[in-house]
Amino acid sequence: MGRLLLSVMALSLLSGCVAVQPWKRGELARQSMAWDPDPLQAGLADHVYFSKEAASGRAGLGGGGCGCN
Amino acid sequence: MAATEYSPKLQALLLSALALPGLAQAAAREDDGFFVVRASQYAEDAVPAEQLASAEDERYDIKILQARLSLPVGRSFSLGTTLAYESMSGASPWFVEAGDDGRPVQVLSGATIEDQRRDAAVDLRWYGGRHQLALSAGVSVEDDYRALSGGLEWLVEMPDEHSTLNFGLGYSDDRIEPTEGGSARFPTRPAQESKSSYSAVVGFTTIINARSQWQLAVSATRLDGFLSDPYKLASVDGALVQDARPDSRWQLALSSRYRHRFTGLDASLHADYRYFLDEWEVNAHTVNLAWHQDLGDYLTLTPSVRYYSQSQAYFYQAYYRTAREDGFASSDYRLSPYGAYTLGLSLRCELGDAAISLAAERYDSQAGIAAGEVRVENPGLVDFTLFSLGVEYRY
Repeated sequence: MGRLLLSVMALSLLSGCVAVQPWKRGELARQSMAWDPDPLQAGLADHVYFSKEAASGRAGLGGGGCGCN
Repeated sequence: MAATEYSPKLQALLLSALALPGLAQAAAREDDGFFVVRASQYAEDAVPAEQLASAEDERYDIKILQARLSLPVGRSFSLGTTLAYESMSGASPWFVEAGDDGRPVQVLSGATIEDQRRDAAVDLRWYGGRHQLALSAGVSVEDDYRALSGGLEWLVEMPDEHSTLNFGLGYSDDRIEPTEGGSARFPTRPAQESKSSYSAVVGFTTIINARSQWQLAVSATRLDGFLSDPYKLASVDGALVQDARPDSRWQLALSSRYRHRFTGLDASLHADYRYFLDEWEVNAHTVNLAWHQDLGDYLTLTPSVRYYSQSQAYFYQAYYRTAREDGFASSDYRLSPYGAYTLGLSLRCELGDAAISLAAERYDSQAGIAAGEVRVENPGLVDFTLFSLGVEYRY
């Protein structure tokens, strides 16, 4: 189910791509449009969920672990 | 709309956008230089009495202090350091046994556990035209644990100036010396163990239009060594044995992140999805939605909801009537099948170069909301409420 959803999302997004000149990227540069607007909050969430759930992994590399196999 | 009609804040944004190399916006923000500190606290709910077989019912109370400093160094480098201190106190799930009616009940560790984690990491980033390289190194130390980690990332902007690719490699070397390991009191608890972690990530980021961007990433991790929990036991045919898991584990995660700006509403939508699978037959779905609503020039209110669901590891059971032929045994709730949701709310206030943010989250897990059918819920599933306060200064 997840793979199907992802494929549909990818195709629909890529088919809608348009050229955006650099001077028209003001909205994309907003803090609230960043992948992680607050890096420490994102790091905290990663760490908390990593210690309580079986799944992990993100778009970037993780930091040091914790002693919670 | 002509540029002269924009507010001063939006003009500043446009200028920063013009400075963006393609869409490496997150890295460009780091290049600004900033200092941020965040204090957080969360308490795990007590185990319900009907699911408990020990006198102790209170679980962990955890406090975390984080700080990050990022400094531009010359025109081509930035240097960052992140520090974290975490203190934990309380009891944790020890083992699960069959209750009077056959339903599993949780036994918590008898004595209150006190532990601290100290974490330090540095990263150096180089900006060279269409390329960025980042080196990172970190150390994490607890009373009974030490991890050394390092990573290398490469980000390259595509010639179309709308897409970037990123590649990363990471390594972590972990050693654990469990408290009272090998002692007369806990003779089966190991005295010293180690594990290694190798990870790789490949990502693709693209601008869809002037208000949307999308990121897709695949990460793979290989774990080797001691992957059991030295402090947990499992009930096998009425006897307690040490938690025992395979000594290797492949993990794969596919992540999709989407950002869309609703200009008329002054709001940004974050829609993230992750599919995870591993060698232990755990499959997991994670959906994260956040709505960043601007309220005037200074405030942003962000409600969020996260849904998580995982299947169980192939060797997991709440308790075992007979021993497995492969010798594995684990009743850890983290390897059990369940679902969880998080409801969050945060408020950010920006005043010039400074900002302050408050956040609260509620996490609830239960078997009943898992994506698949769950026959027996693990009694150790955790719920918690988290509060957080952050202060930030950019220069």
